Amino acid sequence: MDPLRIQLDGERTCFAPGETLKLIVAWKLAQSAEALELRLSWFTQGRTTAEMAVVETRRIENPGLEGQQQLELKAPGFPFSFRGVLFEISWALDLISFPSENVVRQLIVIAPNAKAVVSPGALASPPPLPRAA
Amino acid sequence: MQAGIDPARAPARSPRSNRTVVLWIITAGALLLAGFVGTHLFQTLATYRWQKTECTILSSRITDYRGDNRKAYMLEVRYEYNVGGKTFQSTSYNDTHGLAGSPQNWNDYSDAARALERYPAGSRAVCFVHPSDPTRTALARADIWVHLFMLGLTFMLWLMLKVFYVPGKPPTPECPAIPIIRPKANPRLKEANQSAFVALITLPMGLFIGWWCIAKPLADSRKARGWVETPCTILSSELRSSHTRFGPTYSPNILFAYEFGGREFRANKFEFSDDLETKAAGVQRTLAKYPVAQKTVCFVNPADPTDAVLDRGFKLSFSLTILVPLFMIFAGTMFLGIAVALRLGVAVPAWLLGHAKLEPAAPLPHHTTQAEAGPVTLRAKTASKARMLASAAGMVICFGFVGYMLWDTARDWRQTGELEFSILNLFYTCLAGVFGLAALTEWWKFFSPQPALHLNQPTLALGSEIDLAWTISGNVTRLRDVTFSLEGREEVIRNEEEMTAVGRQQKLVTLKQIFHNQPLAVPTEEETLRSGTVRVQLPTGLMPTFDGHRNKIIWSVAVRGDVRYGSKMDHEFRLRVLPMEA
Repeated sequence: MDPLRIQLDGERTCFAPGETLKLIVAWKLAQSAEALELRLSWFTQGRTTAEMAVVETRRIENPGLEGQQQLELKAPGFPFSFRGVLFEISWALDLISFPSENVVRQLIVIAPNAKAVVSPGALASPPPLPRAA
Repeated sequence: MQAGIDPARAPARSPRSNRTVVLWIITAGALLLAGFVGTHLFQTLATYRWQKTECTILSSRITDYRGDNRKAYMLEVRYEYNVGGKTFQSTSYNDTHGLAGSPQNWNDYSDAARALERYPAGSRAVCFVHPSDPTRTALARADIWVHLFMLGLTFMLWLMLKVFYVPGKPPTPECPAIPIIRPKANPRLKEANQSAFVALITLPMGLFIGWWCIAKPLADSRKARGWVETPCTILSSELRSSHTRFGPTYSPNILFAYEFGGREFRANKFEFSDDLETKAAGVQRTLAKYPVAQKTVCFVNPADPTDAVLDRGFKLSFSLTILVPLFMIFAGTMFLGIAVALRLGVAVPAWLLGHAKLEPAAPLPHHTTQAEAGPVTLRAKTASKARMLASAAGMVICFGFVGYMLWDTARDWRQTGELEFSILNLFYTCLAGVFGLAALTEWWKFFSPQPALHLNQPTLALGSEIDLAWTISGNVTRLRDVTFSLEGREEVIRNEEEMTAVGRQQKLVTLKQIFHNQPLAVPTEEETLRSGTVRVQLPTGLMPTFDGHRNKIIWSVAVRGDVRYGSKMDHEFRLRVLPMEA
């Protein structure tokens, strides 16, 4: 088992704004952590400096070496997941352990009809830069 | 929203990258220069360990020094000393193995006279003798401050070359694999530090030059009000010229003799400011007032009668020695103010920072998807009275300088029959032309047709239908081929670095990609163009307005057209477009 894991309910990764994200965070750590933090954030990637914002944070204090917890988050209304010619906007769930700052990331889509908005020009062009892992 | 992210670790760079090579060349050059200065500093310091020996001054007088293409004064002194029971004679005032490698000389006759006072013929003095070579001696030891100053200057030179000419570190990936751990430090701090660095160079330098060229002469002039008015005779009156890479400079060298306290003295200080003229005619006018053998008055310092001046007044001029320090102090203070303002989080106009506006202009639309109520009028950014008046003021000031210089040139021409133009003439004329053109362009804009848009509400939802009203003020008959269109585009602002003649320049470049262009059906006849309304259907399935720091989705109504006898009309009215209503 991975030391940190995010498991979305029904393996769904695409959501409409306002929908509830049900997920389980699980951990099996070699060393005890002070806390685990789940962050819901968006970030940009493209032909300039990346920007980001953490929209919601859930913290689990003294998680112990092993465990799991069910969490629910509401998908924010904006910005939408977007793929353009010059930049992209992506949403992610990050589970971070402190103080080691180990992190695991789950990319998700938040957009109307649970489909990322794609700029017409982007259909004919490659993504601005390789996608995040 | 947080401003940025910590980038992923940059890939290892080749040790032979351009950056490393340039850095090594600059560092090697600086070390070479520092080594040269350091060697001479070491030699100068060595004289401080030379043996102090009593000597007898056999003769001493002031003679002309002609070196470095200029006339100055030096002390010709002969003295006798005894080492190991053997008597030696020397004429060495200072050890010429020093940095300049030339005997001590002074532009100011008074300085030479003061040195002469210390070593009158027949007096006993202390000289310094090389411990192993008794033929090497010095009456005075060289100052080490000049060496330390040169070392500091070398370091500053190295720092400036490094900052302005060494290419920046290779850009960190703009798309890190796992970009979100910790928000980056405030990006304004980087700009604050850059401004502080520029202020750190220009302000002290400007203050130092300003002190030397303005404050000190002014203070000396005030002090000289208490000096004694004394009759004097002009002994020589000549043009002193020196050649720099910017051309020759001239100053008067008028040697005069006077009696004070029963003794005769000589001096050559004309005035307190070392104002270097770029035209010979101005100096020749001064020299004409003081021909050889003329009786006149000078002002003598009663505390030190070797110190005297012909003109104790202080005159402000438009010369570079006045303008350069004032400009440096102004620029340094401005950069210091920017640095402090950025540190304190005070808003600084983007144009002052020399780049496009990065802060979002309106509250970010991420927080609301609710339409706001109330009609709104969007006006085009057009002519600015403030800009026009500022440009006109700049033009008047510059033409004032140009006028004065032309008058001065005409006066010189009548006097000498030669036309002399300085680089300042050209500079002010060009500056006046630029200001004049800017003022004229701005003024002309007031007469161009200006569109305005009227919306029922400030925010619009994708998929909605709106009535867009417009009015065009001014002379509509001058308009040709007017088009209105609804545009949606991506826009990113990125840093790009380029090497220019003045070093590395970071600039912000805006990239645009239009993804939606919807022409609006607007009549083009003169009668109906002045005002009207058009119904607009906003598209669906596209990205609403996103106002990031450097990544943006911008929706706008573009109004374009040709203006007869004017620049093209190209106005953009930004709209705040929200997601489609559920």
